[in-house]
Amino acid sequence: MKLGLLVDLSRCIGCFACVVGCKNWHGLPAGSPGRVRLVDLAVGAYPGVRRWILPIPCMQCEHPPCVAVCRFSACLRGVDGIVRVDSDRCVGCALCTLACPYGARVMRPDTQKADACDFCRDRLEEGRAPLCVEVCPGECLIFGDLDDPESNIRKRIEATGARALMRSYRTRPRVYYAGLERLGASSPDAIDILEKTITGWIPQSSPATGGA
Amino acid sequence: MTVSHKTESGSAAHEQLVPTLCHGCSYGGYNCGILAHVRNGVMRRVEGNPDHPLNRGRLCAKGLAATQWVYNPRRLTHPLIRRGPRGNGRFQRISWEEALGVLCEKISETRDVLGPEHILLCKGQASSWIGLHHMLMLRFLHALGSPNFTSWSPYICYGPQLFYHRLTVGGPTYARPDYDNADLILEWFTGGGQGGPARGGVETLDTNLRSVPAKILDRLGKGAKLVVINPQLIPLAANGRAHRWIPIRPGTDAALALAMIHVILGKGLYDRDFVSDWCEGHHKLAAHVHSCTPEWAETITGVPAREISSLAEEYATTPRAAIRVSEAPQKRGLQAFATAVPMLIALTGHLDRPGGNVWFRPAARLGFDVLRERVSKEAQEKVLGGNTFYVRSHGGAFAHFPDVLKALIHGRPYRPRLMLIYGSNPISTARPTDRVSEALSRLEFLVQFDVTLNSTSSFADLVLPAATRYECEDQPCLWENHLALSRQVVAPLGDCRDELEVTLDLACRLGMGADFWEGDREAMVRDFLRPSGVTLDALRETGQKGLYLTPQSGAEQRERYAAFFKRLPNGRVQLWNERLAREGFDPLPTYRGEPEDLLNTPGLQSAYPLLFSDEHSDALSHHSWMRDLPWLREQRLDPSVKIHPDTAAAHGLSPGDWVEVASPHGKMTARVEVFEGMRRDTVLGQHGWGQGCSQLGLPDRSIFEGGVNPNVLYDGGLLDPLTANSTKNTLVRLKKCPPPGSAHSGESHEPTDSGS
Repeated sequence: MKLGLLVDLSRCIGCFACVVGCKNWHGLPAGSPGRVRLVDLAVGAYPGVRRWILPIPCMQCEHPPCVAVCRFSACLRGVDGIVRVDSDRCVGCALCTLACPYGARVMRPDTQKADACDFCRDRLEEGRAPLCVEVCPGECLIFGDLDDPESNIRKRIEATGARALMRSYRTRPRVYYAGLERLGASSPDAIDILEKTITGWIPQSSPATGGA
Repeated sequence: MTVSHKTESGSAAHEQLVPTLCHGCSYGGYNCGILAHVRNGVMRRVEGNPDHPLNRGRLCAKGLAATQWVYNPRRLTHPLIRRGPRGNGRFQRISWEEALGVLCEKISETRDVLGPEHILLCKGQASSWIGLHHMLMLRFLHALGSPNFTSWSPYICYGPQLFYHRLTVGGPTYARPDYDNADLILEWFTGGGQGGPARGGVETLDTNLRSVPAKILDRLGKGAKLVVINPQLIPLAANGRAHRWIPIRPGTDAALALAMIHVILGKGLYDRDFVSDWCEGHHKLAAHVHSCTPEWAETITGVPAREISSLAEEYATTPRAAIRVSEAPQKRGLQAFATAVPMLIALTGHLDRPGGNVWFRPAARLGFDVLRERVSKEAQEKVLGGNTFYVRSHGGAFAHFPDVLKALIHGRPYRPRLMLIYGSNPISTARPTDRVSEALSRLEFLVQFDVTLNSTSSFADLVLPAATRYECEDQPCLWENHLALSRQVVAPLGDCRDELEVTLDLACRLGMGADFWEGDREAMVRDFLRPSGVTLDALRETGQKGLYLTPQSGAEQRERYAAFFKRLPNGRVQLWNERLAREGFDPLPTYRGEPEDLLNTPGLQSAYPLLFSDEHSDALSHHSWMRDLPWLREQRLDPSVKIHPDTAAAHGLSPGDWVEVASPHGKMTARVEVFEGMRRDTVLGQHGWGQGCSQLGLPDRSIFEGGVNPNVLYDGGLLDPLTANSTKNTLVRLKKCPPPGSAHSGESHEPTDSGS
C-alpha cells in the first residue's frame, strides 16, 4: 500500500475549495497559511497568455527533506508512508519549513509549531479519502493506492503520463500532476517558471494577492 | 462568541452529523447539501453531502467556511435600536419584546394613519427568491395592504435580463445552457463557475451562483470546446481549457452579438426552417443589422473582425452549442444585449434543442397564497412606478426602483414612511450610492434583519439579529424534482431569531394571526410543502437523501415551441418586437453604448483613459457577504483592481500598491493586482467590499466617495429606459496613493451598549 494523490490539471478551476476546506476540517486558526495553497501562473504575453492554476499540498515525499532536517524527530514518516508532524515533539524551530522545496511545510500562528498535510489521517482511519479530494468541485483530485495496478489513480497516472513536480530535487513525491506536458508546451520556459514560483514561495501568515 | 477549533485529535466519530442545506448562496433557497458536524452543541466543521444531487459531496470555499459564518465575532446577537442621528452608528441593545413593540407600533401607525402603501418591504438575494422566505414576506406585506414590494435586485441583477429574454423568446424562465450535451460552450462575461463552484452543473434562476464547473469539465473531457468572452482570462479558461479567449472591452457585448447576427444572416448560416416557422421580423432584423459589420464591431469591442466572423460561424454551424451569459450584465444599453443573445440562440436553431439553450420544468412548485387580494384597489393604484411598462408587465407586483428613490427623496407622489429590509445591503449593492443613502435617510423608520451589521445598518432605526440557516428549523426546498430539507444544526446564537418566526410573530401582534397560522411555524411549513404531495414527516424521515418527486410528464421533451411561445405575439419569436414597439420602445436591438465609453464620450479619453467595470461575485465572497470570514479573506486581504502589467508600468504601479481610481463621477481606492490575462485598456474592480476582519487585523473601510466601493464611479442617472438597469461601466484614471485610513462613517460599527 502506497497512498498517493493525482492532481488532474484539466479539472482544477482555482476555486480555493481545497484551501478553505482543509482549514475547516482541521480547524486551522485565522491567519494560518494552510496546508495547501494554489499557484496561479500567467505564462506568455497578452493576448496569447496562458493561465495555469494548481494546488500545492505536501508532496508526501519518500525522501522527505523535512524529516531529514528535523532534530527532534517531530517530522516523521510513518509505516504507512505518510509524512506528518508530531506536534508534541515539535519545538517550533521552523527548520522543516526552510527544508521543504515545495514550501508545503508551514508554521501555525497559534501554536508556533510546524503544520502540514497528512492526507487527513483521521479520515483515512475511517476509510475515507482526504477532505480536499471529496469536496473538490472540479473533481480534479484522485486519491488511492499507487501500488495497486487496478486502482483508479494508477490507471489515470499511466493513461495521462502524470508526473511529480520538481523531480530534480529527488525527494520522490507521491503527489502526481496530469497535464504538465500541456503546461510545458505553452512556452519553452513554462515549467521553469512554475518551479521557480513554487520554490520562491515564502511561507507567510498573510498570503499575497493572487494574480500572476 | 468565538469557538476554538482544537478538533485535530477529536475524531469525527464523536461528532453528530446533521444533514442540511448550505447558507452560502442564500438562506432561503435550495442550495448544496451539507453535512454539519456538531459536538456539544457547537458546529465544528462541515463537508458536502454525497447524497445531495446538486453537489454530490462537493462544496465550494464559501460553503466550507460555514463555521466561521456562524461563529463570526461580528454576528449580531441582540436587537439594537439607534441612538443619536442616522449614520453615526450608535446603537443600544434592547430586548425582542421592546423591539417588536416599537416595530408594531410604527407599522400599525403607518398603515392606519398614512395608508398601507407607506410601508415598503425590501428583500435581498440573501433570503433567496421564490422560496418560503419570499412567499411569507410577500404575504406579510400584502396582508398589511401594501403593494410596494421594493427590492433592488430585480433592477441590478438577473431580473432585467430575464424580462428581455422572455419578451424575445418567451418560455417560463431563462433558456439555460444544456451543458450535458453541448459540443461548444460560450461563457459570456460569466465568472465561469466562480460563484458557488460546487453546484453540480444545475442552472437555476441565478446562473452565476448555481454554477457549473463539473458539468462543463466533464463535457470538455469528452471533446467539447470552451469559448470565454471576457475582458480577463477567468480561471475556468485556465489550464489549457479555453479553445478561444475573446478579451472584449467591458460593456460592449451587444456590439459583438449584433455583429454575430450580421454574419449569421449575411452568410445564410441561420436555421431557415425554424426562422420561417417560428420567428417574426426576420427581414426587419436583417435590415437593422446590415451596418453591424464585424469591422464596425471591432472598433467598439476591440475584438478583431475576423475573430468575430469565425466565432459567429463556429457557433452557428455547431449543432450543439450553448451560451451562458452573466446573469447580471448591468448596462444602460441592456436591451440590445439582452434581446440580441436570445435572438442568436433562436436564429441558429439552438433554442430548446439538445446541447443548446433549453427550458427545464420543475416537478412541482412549493408555496402558499401570498394574499395579493388583500391589497385594496386604491392601494394598488399607489404602487410606485405602477404606470411603467416594466411594472405593468409584472402585474404591478413590485415598485419601480427609480420611482422609489424619487418618492423617498422628493416626496413625489408621496413619501413612504417605513421600510423593512430582510437580508439585503442596498447601500453597498444598489446604485447610485449617494441617492440610495439619501433615500434611506428620508425614511421615518427603517428596520433591518441581518446576521451582521452592514453598510446599510447605520441608516437603520432598528436592527434585528437574524439566525443563520444552520440555526433555523425545518425548511423544505425543491429543485427540479428533488425535495430537500434544511434542518437546524445548532441553537441560535445569543438572541438571534429565525426571520420566519419573527415575521409570524409580528403578524400575530398586528392582529393578523388568522392569516398567519396563528404564529405556528410548522403549520406554515406544512402548507408550503403541500403542493408537492409530500408530508413534512415523510420528508424528515428521508435523512440526507431527500426525496425525488415524479418528474412532470414531458419534462425531458424538447422543441416545445407552441407551449413556450404562447405568450409571445402570434406565438412567435420576436426578432422585431411588437410589444416593445407598441409601448414606444425600440423594437430592435440597437447598440447605444454606456454612459461613458469610447463611443459616447471620446472627449473624456484624455482625462480618463481606461475602461472600468467590476466582477459580479467570486469564489470567495457573495456580494457584500462573507468578506469578513478569515478563511476566505486570507486569499485576498484587500479590495483590489486588476490591471495588465504594461498598464501598471505606465502608471508607475507595482503589485500591492494602493491606487486611487477616479471616474467623472467619483473616486475609490483599491490595491493593485497585476495580471497578464487582462486587456491593457481595462481595469476590473470588485464590489461588496467594506467589511473589516478583526481576526486578521483588517479595518472597516468606507463605501462612500473615496472609499472602496466601485458603485460611486458609475453614472447612476442614465438607466436602461425600460427596466431601469444601471451601468457598471465607466472610464477612469489611476493614481498611486497612500494606504487609506480605516473606516469613517458608513461601514459597519461595533454596537455600543451604552444603555444596558
